[in-house]
Amino acid sequence: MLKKRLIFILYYDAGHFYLSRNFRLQRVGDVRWLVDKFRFNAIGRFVDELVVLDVGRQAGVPRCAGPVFGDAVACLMRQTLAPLTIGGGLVSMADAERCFQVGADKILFNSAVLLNPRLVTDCVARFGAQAVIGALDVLPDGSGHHVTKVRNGQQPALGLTEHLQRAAALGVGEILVNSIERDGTGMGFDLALIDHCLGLHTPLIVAGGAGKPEHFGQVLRLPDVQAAATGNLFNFIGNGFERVRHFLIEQQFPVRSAVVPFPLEQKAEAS
Amino acid sequence: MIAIIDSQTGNIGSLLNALARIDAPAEIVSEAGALDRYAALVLPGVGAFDHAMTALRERGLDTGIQRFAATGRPVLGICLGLQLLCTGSAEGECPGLGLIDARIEHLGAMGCQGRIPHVGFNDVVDRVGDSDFIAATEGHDFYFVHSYGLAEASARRDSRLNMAITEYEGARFVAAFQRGLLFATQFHPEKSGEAGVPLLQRFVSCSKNA
Repeated sequence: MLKKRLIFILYYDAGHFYLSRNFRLQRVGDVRWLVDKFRFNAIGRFVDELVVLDVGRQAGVPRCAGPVFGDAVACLMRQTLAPLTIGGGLVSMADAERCFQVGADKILFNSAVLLNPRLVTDCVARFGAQAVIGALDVLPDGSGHHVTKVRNGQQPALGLTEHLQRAAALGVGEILVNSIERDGTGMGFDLALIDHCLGLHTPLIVAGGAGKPEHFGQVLRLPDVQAAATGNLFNFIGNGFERVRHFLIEQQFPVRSAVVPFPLEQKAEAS
Repeated sequence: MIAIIDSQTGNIGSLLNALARIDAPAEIVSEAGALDRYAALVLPGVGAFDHAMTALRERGLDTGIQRFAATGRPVLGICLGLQLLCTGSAEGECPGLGLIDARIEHLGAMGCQGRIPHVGFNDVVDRVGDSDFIAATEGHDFYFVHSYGLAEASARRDSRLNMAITEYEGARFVAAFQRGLLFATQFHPEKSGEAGVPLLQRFVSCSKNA
Protein backbone atom coordinates (compact mmCIF):
# COMPACT_ATOMS: atom_id res chain seq x y z
CA MET A 1 0.00 0.00 0.00
CA LEU A 2 1.22 3.44 -0.89
CA LYS A 3 2.03 5.37 2.26
CA LYS A 4 1.15 8.95 3.13
CA ARG A 5 4.16 11.22 3.35
CA LEU A 6 5.57 13.76 5.75
CA ILE A 7 7.69 16.40 4.00
CA PHE A 8 10.12 18.90 5.50
CA ILE A 9 10.51 22.12 3.50
CA LEU A 10 13.65 24.19 4.00
CA TYR A 11 13.91 27.81 2.90
CA TYR A 12 17.44 28.76 1.99
CA ASP A 13 19.23 31.91 0.93
CA ALA A 14 22.97 32.53 0.66
CA GLY A 15 24.25 30.23 3.38
CA HIS A 16 21.34 30.37 5.79
CA PHE A 17 18.02 28.71 6.40
CA TYR A 18 14.95 30.80 7.09
CA LEU A 19 11.72 30.62 8.96
CA SER A 20 8.89 31.74 6.72
CA ARG A 21 5.85 33.25 8.42
CA ASN A 22 3.10 34.53 6.17
CA PHE A 23 5.89 34.65 3.58
CA ARG A 24 8.06 37.01 5.61
CA LEU A 25 11.46 35.45 6.05
CA GLN A 26 13.48 35.35 9.25
CA ARG A 27 17.06 34.14 9.20
CA VAL A 28 17.59 31.22 11.57
CA GLY A 29 20.81 29.27 11.05
CA ASP A 30 23.32 27.79 8.68
CA VAL A 31 23.72 24.22 7.46
CA ARG A 32 25.65 23.21 10.55
CA TRP A 33 22.90 24.58 12.78
CA LEU A 34 20.27 22.71 10.82
CA VAL A 35 22.16 19.41 10.83
CA ASP A 36 22.68 19.70 14.58
CA LYS A 37 19.25 20.89 15.71
CA PHE A 38 17.27 18.48 13.57
CA ARG A 39 19.65 15.54 13.98
CA PHE A 40 19.87 15.30 10.25
CA ASN A 41 21.70 11.99 10.20
CA ALA A 42 18.54 10.36 11.57
CA ILE A 43 15.90 12.62 10.04
CA GLY A 44 15.16 10.14 7.27
CA ARG A 45 13.55 7.88 9.83
CA PHE A 46 10.84 10.41 10.58
CA VAL A 47 10.58 12.60 7.48
CA ASP A 48 9.81 10.96 4.14
CA GLU A 49 11.13 13.69 1.86
CA LEU A 50 13.04 16.93 1.93
CA VAL A 51 12.33 20.02 -0.14
CA VAL A 52 14.93 22.78 -0.28
CA LEU A 53 13.79 26.06 -1.81
CA ASP A 54 16.10 28.94 -2.59
CA VAL A 55 14.17 32.05 -1.58
CA GLY A 56 16.94 34.50 -2.45
CA ARG A 57 15.65 37.77 -3.81
CA GLN A 58 18.81 39.52 -4.88
CA ALA A 59 18.64 40.35 -8.56
CA GLY A 60 21.20 38.70 -10.79
CA VAL A 61 22.27 36.09 -8.23
CA PRO A 62 21.70 32.52 -9.38
CA ARG A 63 19.40 30.81 -6.93
CA CYS A 64 18.93 27.09 -6.59
CA ALA A 65 20.97 26.41 -9.71
CA GLY A 66 23.98 28.25 -8.30
CA PRO A 67 27.11 26.72 -6.77
CA VAL A 68 26.56 28.04 -3.21
CA PHE A 69 23.19 26.38 -3.04
CA GLY A 70 24.64 23.18 -4.48
CA ASP A 71 27.29 23.02 -1.77
CA ALA A 72 24.72 23.48 1.00
CA VAL A 73 22.54 20.75 -0.45
CA ALA A 74 25.48 18.39 -0.85
CA CYS A 75 26.34 18.96 2.81
CA LEU A 76 22.79 18.12 3.90
CA MET A 77 22.49 15.09 1.69
CA ARG A 78 25.65 13.51 3.03
CA GLN A 79 23.67 13.14 6.26
CA THR A 80 20.57 11.41 4.97
CA LEU A 81 19.24 9.06 2.31
CA ALA A 82 15.91 10.83 1.91
CA PRO A 83 14.44 11.91 -1.43
CA LEU A 84 15.14 15.54 -2.28
CA THR A 85 13.23 18.20 -4.18
CA ILE A 86 14.92 21.46 -5.17
CA GLY A 87 13.25 24.66 -6.29
CA GLY A 88 13.38 28.43 -6.29
CA GLY A 89 14.33 30.57 -9.24
CA LEU A 90 14.62 27.91 -11.92
CA VAL A 91 14.51 29.76 -15.24
CA SER A 92 16.07 27.40 -17.77
CA MET A 93 16.59 23.78 -18.70
CA ALA A 94 20.25 24.20 -17.76
CA ASP A 95 19.13 25.26 -14.27
CA ALA A 96 16.95 22.17 -14.00
CA GLU A 97 19.81 19.92 -15.09
CA ARG A 98 22.06 21.50 -12.50
CA CYS A 99 19.50 20.72 -9.77
CA PHE A 100 19.50 17.03 -10.67
CA GLN A 101 23.29 17.05 -10.79
CA VAL A 102 23.55 18.35 -7.23
CA GLY A 103 21.23 15.68 -5.94
CA ALA A 104 17.60 16.51 -6.67
CA ASP A 105 15.16 13.73 -7.32
CA LYS A 106 12.51 16.26 -8.21
CA ILE A 107 12.39 19.93 -9.07
CA LEU A 108 9.72 22.37 -8.00
CA PHE A 109 8.27 25.19 -10.06
CA ASN A 110 6.18 27.93 -8.56
CA SER A 111 5.88 31.13 -10.58
CA ALA A 112 6.99 29.32 -13.75
CA VAL A 113 3.64 27.51 -13.80
CA LEU A 114 2.14 30.84 -14.86
CA LEU A 115 5.10 32.79 -16.22
CA ASN A 116 7.08 30.10 -18.03
CA PRO A 117 4.78 27.11 -18.61
CA ARG A 118 6.89 26.00 -21.56
CA LEU A 119 9.86 25.37 -19.25
CA VAL A 120 7.64 23.26 -17.00
CA THR A 121 6.34 21.12 -19.86
CA ASP A 122 9.86 20.80 -21.28
CA CYS A 123 11.07 19.52 -17.90
CA VAL A 124 8.17 17.08 -17.69
CA ALA A 125 9.17 15.74 -21.12
CA ARG A 126 12.86 15.65 -20.27
CA PHE A 127 12.83 14.28 -16.71
CA GLY A 128 9.38 12.71 -16.50
CA ALA A 129 6.24 13.89 -14.73
CA GLN A 130 7.32 12.20 -11.52
CA ALA A 131 10.30 14.55 -11.26
CA VAL A 132 8.36 17.82 -11.46
CA ILE A 133 6.23 19.48 -8.76
CA GLY A 134 4.02 22.48 -9.46
CA ALA A 135 3.54 24.68 -6.41
CA LEU A 136 0.86 27.30 -5.67
CA ASP A 137 0.80 29.89 -2.91
CA VAL A 138 -2.74 30.68 -1.87
CA LEU A 139 -4.54 33.27 0.22
CA PRO A 140 -8.19 34.19 0.83
CA ASP A 141 -9.43 37.12 -1.27
CA GLY A 142 -11.69 38.42 1.48
CA SER A 143 -14.92 37.32 -0.18
CA GLY A 144 -14.87 33.65 0.63
CA HIS A 145 -12.73 32.60 -2.32
CA HIS A 146 -9.08 31.71 -2.63
CA VAL A 147 -6.61 33.26 -5.01
CA THR A 148 -3.01 32.41 -5.73
CA LYS A 149 -0.14 34.79 -5.54
CA VAL A 150 3.30 34.62 -7.05
CA ARG A 151 5.88 35.28 -4.32
CA ASN A 152 7.21 38.79 -4.80
CA GLY A 153 5.66 38.87 -8.25
CA GLN A 154 3.76 41.61 -9.98
CA GLN A 155 1.26 39.15 -11.37
CA PRO A 156 -2.42 39.77 -10.67
CA ALA A 157 -3.97 37.21 -8.36
CA LEU A 158 -5.46 34.21 -10.08
CA GLY A 159 -8.41 32.09 -8.94
CA LEU A 160 -7.38 28.92 -7.15
CA THR A 161 -9.34 26.59 -9.39
CA GLU A 162 -7.93 28.04 -12.57
CA HIS A 163 -4.39 27.93 -11.20
CA LEU A 164 -4.81 24.28 -10.16
CA GLN A 165 -6.11 23.43 -13.61
CA ARG A 166 -3.23 25.20 -15.30
CA ALA A 167 -0.68 23.35 -13.16
CA ALA A 168 -2.35 19.99 -13.80
CA ALA A 169 -2.53 20.71 -17.53
CA LEU A 170 1.24 21.11 -17.66
CA GLY A 171 1.52 17.46 -16.69
CA VAL A 172 3.38 17.92 -13.41
CA GLY A 173 3.63 14.82 -11.22
CA GLU A 174 2.50 16.47 -8.01
CA ILE A 175 0.88 19.72 -6.95
CA LEU A 176 1.89 21.46 -3.72
CA VAL A 177 -0.62 23.91 -2.28
CA ASN A 178 0.69 26.27 0.37
CA SER A 179 -1.42 28.62 2.48
CA ILE A 180 0.19 32.04 2.79
CA GLU A 181 -2.16 32.91 5.63
CA ARG A 182 -1.19 29.86 7.69
CA ASP A 183 2.47 29.74 6.62
CA GLY A 184 4.71 29.44 9.68
CA THR A 185 1.88 30.10 12.14
CA GLY A 186 1.51 26.62 13.61
CA MET A 187 -2.28 27.15 13.69
CA GLY A 188 -3.01 24.07 11.62
CA PHE A 189 -3.54 23.50 7.93
CA ASP A 190 -6.23 25.51 6.13
CA LEU A 191 -8.84 22.79 5.80
CA ALA A 192 -11.24 25.01 3.84
CA LEU A 193 -8.53 25.72 1.29
CA ILE A 194 -7.62 22.04 1.02
CA ASP A 195 -11.28 21.23 0.52
CA HIS A 196 -11.15 23.30 -2.70
CA CYS A 197 -8.18 21.29 -3.97
CA LEU A 198 -9.68 17.83 -3.70
CA GLY A 199 -10.61 15.74 -6.73
CA LEU A 200 -7.50 16.47 -8.73
CA HIS A 201 -5.99 13.68 -10.77
CA THR A 202 -2.53 14.81 -9.72
CA PRO A 203 -1.15 13.78 -6.31
CA LEU A 204 -1.63 16.59 -3.78
CA ILE A 205 0.83 17.88 -1.18
CA VAL A 206 -0.50 20.40 1.33
CA ALA A 207 1.58 22.92 3.28
CA GLY A 208 1.16 25.88 5.58
CA GLY A 209 0.16 25.88 9.22
CA ALA A 210 1.39 22.63 10.76
CA GLY A 211 2.28 23.16 14.40
CA LYS A 212 1.75 19.83 16.12
CA PRO A 213 1.32 16.13 15.29
CA GLU A 214 -2.50 16.26 15.26
CA HIS A 215 -2.42 18.79 12.42
CA PHE A 216 -0.83 16.23 10.13
CA GLY A 217 -3.52 13.74 11.05
CA GLN A 218 -6.24 16.24 10.10
CA VAL A 219 -5.08 16.40 6.51
CA LEU A 220 -3.54 12.98 5.93
CA ARG A 221 -6.88 11.34 6.68
CA LEU A 222 -8.26 12.94 3.50
CA PRO A 223 -8.03 10.37 0.69
CA ASP A 224 -6.86 12.97 -1.84
CA VAL A 225 -4.00 14.32 0.26
CA GLN A 226 -0.89 12.27 -0.44
CA ALA A 227 1.53 14.26 1.66
CA ALA A 228 1.64 16.99 4.27
CA ALA A 229 4.54 19.39 4.45
CA THR A 230 5.92 21.87 6.91
CA GLY A 231 8.69 24.41 6.77
CA ASN A 232 8.27 25.47 10.37
CA LEU A 233 11.78 25.36 11.78
CA PHE A 234 10.72 26.09 15.34
CA ASN A 235 7.73 23.85 15.95
CA PHE A 236 9.51 20.66 14.95
CA ILE A 237 13.01 21.33 16.17
CA GLY A 238 14.79 18.56 18.07
CA ASN A 239 12.61 15.46 18.12
CA GLY A 240 9.53 17.18 16.62
CA PHE A 241 9.31 14.99 13.54
CA GLU A 242 9.86 11.90 15.64
CA ARG A 243 6.80 12.87 17.68
CA VAL A 244 4.77 13.41 14.51
CA ARG A 245 5.81 10.04 13.10
CA HIS A 246 4.95 8.23 16.31
CA PHE A 247 1.60 9.96 16.52
CA LEU A 248 0.71 8.94 12.97
CA ILE A 249 1.80 5.34 13.57
CA GLU A 250 -0.13 5.16 16.85
CA GLN A 251 -3.23 6.52 15.17
CA GLN A 252 -2.81 3.87 12.47
CA PHE A 253 -2.35 6.25 9.58
CA PRO A 254 -0.92 4.50 6.52
CA VAL A 255 2.60 5.88 6.90
CA ARG A 256 6.02 4.36 6.55
CA SER A 257 6.53 2.58 9.84
CA ALA A 258 9.80 0.73 9.61
CA VAL A 259 11.94 2.92 11.80
CA VAL A 260 14.89 0.61 12.18
CA PRO A 261 18.10 1.48 13.98
CA PHE A 262 20.94 2.26 11.65
CA PRO A 263 24.17 0.54 12.66
CA LEU A 264 26.25 2.84 10.48
CA GLU A 265 25.03 6.01 12.12
CA GLN A 266 28.10 6.57 14.23
CA LYS A 267 30.28 6.25 11.21
CA ALA A 268 28.18 8.82 9.36
CA GLU A 269 28.57 11.20 12.28
CA ALA A 270 32.30 10.76 12.40
CA SER A 271 32.86 11.46 8.72
CA MET B 1 35.46 -0.42 -7.62
CA ILE B 2 31.89 0.12 -8.83
CA ALA B 3 31.06 2.02 -12.01
CA ILE B 4 28.01 4.26 -11.85
CA ILE B 5 26.85 4.98 -15.36
CA ASP B 6 26.36 8.67 -16.02
CA SER B 7 22.90 8.42 -17.50
CA GLN B 8 22.72 12.23 -17.75
CA THR B 9 19.21 12.17 -16.38
CA GLY B 10 19.42 11.27 -12.79
CA ASN B 11 20.57 11.99 -9.38
CA ILE B 12 23.87 10.27 -8.88
CA GLY B 13 24.97 12.13 -5.75
CA SER B 14 22.65 10.23 -3.46
CA LEU B 15 23.84 6.95 -4.89
CA LEU B 16 27.47 7.89 -4.25
CA ASN B 17 26.53 8.88 -0.69
CA ALA B 18 24.69 5.61 -0.08
CA LEU B 19 27.54 3.49 -1.43
CA ALA B 20 30.05 5.48 0.61
CA ARG B 21 28.10 4.60 3.74
CA ILE B 22 28.69 0.92 3.14
CA ASP B 23 32.34 1.44 2.21
CA ALA B 24 31.78 0.60 -1.44
CA PRO B 25 33.98 2.87 -3.54
CA ALA B 26 32.31 4.01 -6.75
CA GLU B 27 33.03 6.32 -9.65
CA ILE B 28 30.91 7.92 -12.30
CA VAL B 29 31.65 6.53 -15.74
CA SER B 30 30.55 8.18 -18.95
CA GLU B 31 32.41 6.24 -21.62
CA ALA B 32 32.22 2.60 -22.58
CA GLY B 33 35.97 2.14 -22.92
CA ALA B 34 36.50 2.70 -19.20
CA LEU B 35 34.16 -0.08 -18.09
CA ASP B 36 36.78 -2.83 -18.22
CA ARG B 37 38.36 -1.51 -15.05
CA TYR B 38 35.33 -2.03 -12.84
CA ALA B 39 34.07 -5.01 -10.86
CA ALA B 40 30.41 -4.00 -10.86
CA LEU B 41 28.12 -1.54 -12.57
CA VAL B 42 25.12 0.50 -11.46
CA LEU B 43 22.74 1.93 -14.03
CA PRO B 44 20.69 4.66 -12.36
CA GLY B 45 18.31 7.04 -14.02
CA VAL B 46 15.17 9.06 -13.89
CA GLY B 47 13.28 10.56 -16.75
CA ALA B 48 12.12 9.49 -20.12
CA PHE B 49 13.12 6.12 -21.55
CA ASP B 50 14.12 7.31 -25.03
CA HIS B 51 16.16 10.21 -23.75
CA ALA B 52 18.18 7.96 -21.48
CA MET B 53 18.57 5.21 -24.06
CA THR B 54 19.74 7.69 -26.70
CA ALA B 55 22.25 9.14 -24.25
CA LEU B 56 23.64 5.65 -23.62
CA ARG B 57 23.84 4.84 -27.34
CA GLU B 58 25.60 8.06 -28.25
CA ARG B 59 28.48 7.07 -25.99
CA GLY B 60 28.50 3.37 -26.86
CA LEU B 61 27.35 2.58 -23.34
CA ASP B 62 24.49 0.39 -24.57
CA THR B 63 26.82 -2.24 -25.98
CA GLY B 64 29.30 -1.48 -23.20
CA ILE B 65 26.76 -2.46 -20.54
CA GLN B 66 25.68 -5.54 -22.50
CA ARG B 67 29.31 -6.67 -22.74
CA PHE B 68 29.86 -5.92 -19.06
CA ALA B 69 26.95 -8.17 -18.07
CA ALA B 70 28.07 -10.88 -20.48
CA THR B 71 31.47 -11.05 -18.79
CA GLY B 72 29.95 -12.25 -15.52
CA ARG B 73 30.10 -9.04 -13.54
CA PRO B 74 27.17 -7.80 -11.46
CA VAL B 75 24.87 -5.09 -12.80
CA LEU B 76 22.27 -3.16 -10.79
CA GLY B 77 19.58 -1.12 -12.54
CA ILE B 78 17.75 1.45 -10.43
CA CYS B 79 14.36 2.98 -11.32
CA LEU B 80 14.63 3.89 -15.02
CA GLY B 81 17.75 1.70 -14.96
CA LEU B 82 15.54 -1.34 -14.31
CA GLN B 83 13.40 -0.38 -17.28
CA LEU B 84 16.41 0.14 -19.56
CA LEU B 85 17.47 -3.48 -18.90
CA CYS B 86 14.29 -4.66 -20.67
CA THR B 87 13.61 -4.91 -24.40
CA GLY B 88 11.67 -1.66 -24.70
CA SER B 89 9.03 0.56 -23.17
CA ALA B 90 5.57 1.83 -23.97
CA GLU B 91 6.99 5.23 -23.06
CA GLY B 92 9.16 5.42 -26.15
CA GLU B 93 10.34 4.00 -29.45
CA CYS B 94 13.94 3.06 -28.62
CA PRO B 95 14.84 -0.57 -28.00
CA GLY B 96 16.18 -1.20 -24.50
CA LEU B 97 19.29 -3.15 -23.52
CA GLY B 98 17.39 -6.42 -23.81
CA LEU B 99 19.03 -8.17 -20.86
CA ILE B 100 15.54 -9.08 -19.66
CA ASP B 101 13.06 -10.31 -22.25
CA ALA B 102 10.08 -8.16 -21.28
CA ARG B 103 8.61 -4.80 -22.19
CA ILE B 104 7.88 -1.90 -19.85
CA GLU B 105 4.26 -0.77 -19.61
CA HIS B 106 2.43 2.25 -18.28
CA LEU B 107 0.95 1.65 -14.82
CA GLY B 108 -2.46 2.52 -16.25
CA ALA B 109 -2.15 -0.31 -18.77
CA MET B 110 -1.60 -2.69 -15.84
CA GLY B 111 -4.97 -1.67 -14.42
CA CYS B 112 -3.82 1.03 -12.01
CA GLN B 113 -6.84 3.01 -10.81
CA GLY B 114 -4.85 5.44 -8.71
CA ARG B 115 -3.09 8.66 -9.46
CA ILE B 116 -0.06 8.33 -11.67
CA PRO B 117 2.88 8.74 -11.15
CA HIS B 118 3.24 6.34 -8.26
CA VAL B 119 5.19 8.51 -5.84
CA GLY B 120 6.16 7.67 -2.30
CA PHE B 121 6.90 4.81 0.02
CA ASN B 122 5.30 1.47 -0.69
CA ASP B 123 5.85 -2.08 0.51
CA VAL B 124 6.29 -5.46 -1.14
CA VAL B 125 3.26 -7.76 -1.26
CA ASP B 126 4.76 -10.89 -2.78
CA ARG B 127 8.16 -12.46 -3.28
CA VAL B 128 9.19 -15.06 -5.85
CA GLY B 129 12.35 -17.16 -5.54
CA ASP B 130 14.91 -17.52 -2.77
CA SER B 131 17.33 -14.69 -3.46
CA ASP B 132 18.88 -12.88 -0.47
CA PHE B 133 18.55 -9.63 -2.38
CA ILE B 134 14.80 -10.11 -2.71
CA ALA B 135 14.47 -11.35 0.88
CA ALA B 136 15.92 -8.02 2.07
CA THR B 137 12.73 -6.27 0.93
CA GLU B 138 10.67 -7.94 3.64
CA GLY B 139 9.01 -5.68 6.18
CA HIS B 140 10.14 -2.37 4.73
CA ASP B 141 8.79 0.48 2.65
CA PHE B 142 10.77 1.74 -0.31
CA TYR B 143 10.72 4.99 -2.22
CA PHE B 144 9.10 4.76 -5.64
CA VAL B 145 8.74 7.53 -8.16
CA HIS B 146 7.62 6.31 -11.58
CA SER B 147 4.79 6.07 -14.11
CA TYR B 148 5.96 2.99 -15.99
CA GLY B 149 7.07 -0.40 -14.78
CA LEU B 150 7.62 -4.09 -15.39
CA ALA B 151 4.25 -5.80 -14.95
CA GLU B 152 4.21 -8.87 -12.75
CA ALA B 153 2.54 -10.86 -15.53
CA SER B 154 5.36 -10.04 -17.98
CA ALA B 155 8.09 -10.76 -15.44
CA ARG B 156 6.67 -14.14 -14.48
CA ARG B 157 7.26 -15.39 -18.02
CA ASP B 158 10.96 -15.54 -17.11
CA SER B 159 11.03 -18.44 -14.66
CA ARG B 160 14.60 -17.61 -13.62
CA LEU B 161 13.65 -14.20 -12.20
CA ASN B 162 13.62 -13.86 -8.45
CA MET B 163 11.34 -10.93 -7.75
CA ALA B 164 9.56 -8.74 -5.27
CA ILE B 165 6.11 -7.50 -6.30
CA THR B 166 4.49 -4.24 -5.28
CA GLU B 167 0.87 -3.33 -5.68
CA TYR B 168 -0.50 0.12 -6.34
CA GLU B 169 -4.22 0.69 -6.79
CA GLY B 170 -4.84 -2.38 -8.89
CA ALA B 171 -1.50 -2.63 -10.70
CA ARG B 172 1.02 -5.32 -9.73
CA PHE B 173 4.57 -4.76 -10.89
CA VAL B 174 8.15 -5.68 -10.14
CA ALA B 175 9.65 -3.74 -7.22
CA ALA B 176 12.97 -5.60 -7.48
CA PHE B 177 14.38 -8.56 -9.33
CA GLN B 178 17.50 -10.67 -9.40
CA ARG B 179 18.61 -13.16 -12.02
CA GLY B 180 22.14 -14.38 -11.43
CA LEU B 181 24.31 -11.28 -11.30
CA LEU B 182 21.65 -9.05 -12.82
CA PHE B 183 19.95 -6.98 -10.11
CA ALA B 184 17.35 -4.24 -10.40
CA THR B 185 15.00 -2.17 -8.31
CA GLN B 186 12.10 -0.03 -9.50
CA PHE B 187 12.33 1.83 -6.18
CA HIS B 188 15.34 3.86 -5.10
CA PRO B 189 17.33 1.92 -2.48
CA GLU B 190 19.55 4.99 -2.10
CA LYS B 191 16.50 7.10 -1.25
CA SER B 192 14.70 4.67 1.03
CA GLY B 193 16.56 5.53 4.20
CA GLU B 194 17.91 2.62 6.16
CA ALA B 195 15.67 0.09 4.42
CA GLY B 196 17.61 0.35 1.16
CA VAL B 197 21.06 -0.19 2.63
CA PRO B 198 20.88 -4.01 2.99
CA LEU B 199 19.97 -4.34 -0.70
CA LEU B 200 22.96 -2.29 -1.76
CA GLN B 201 25.13 -4.33 0.59
CA ARG B 202 23.98 -7.57 -1.03
CA PHE B 203 24.70 -6.26 -4.51
CA VAL B 204 28.12 -5.00 -3.42
CA SER B 205 29.01 -8.31 -1.76
CA CYS B 206 28.33 -10.07 -5.10
CA SER B 207 30.66 -7.67 -6.80
CA LYS B 208 33.41 -8.62 -4.38
CA ASN B 209 32.88 -12.29 -5.21
CA ALA B 210 32.77 -11.68 -8.94
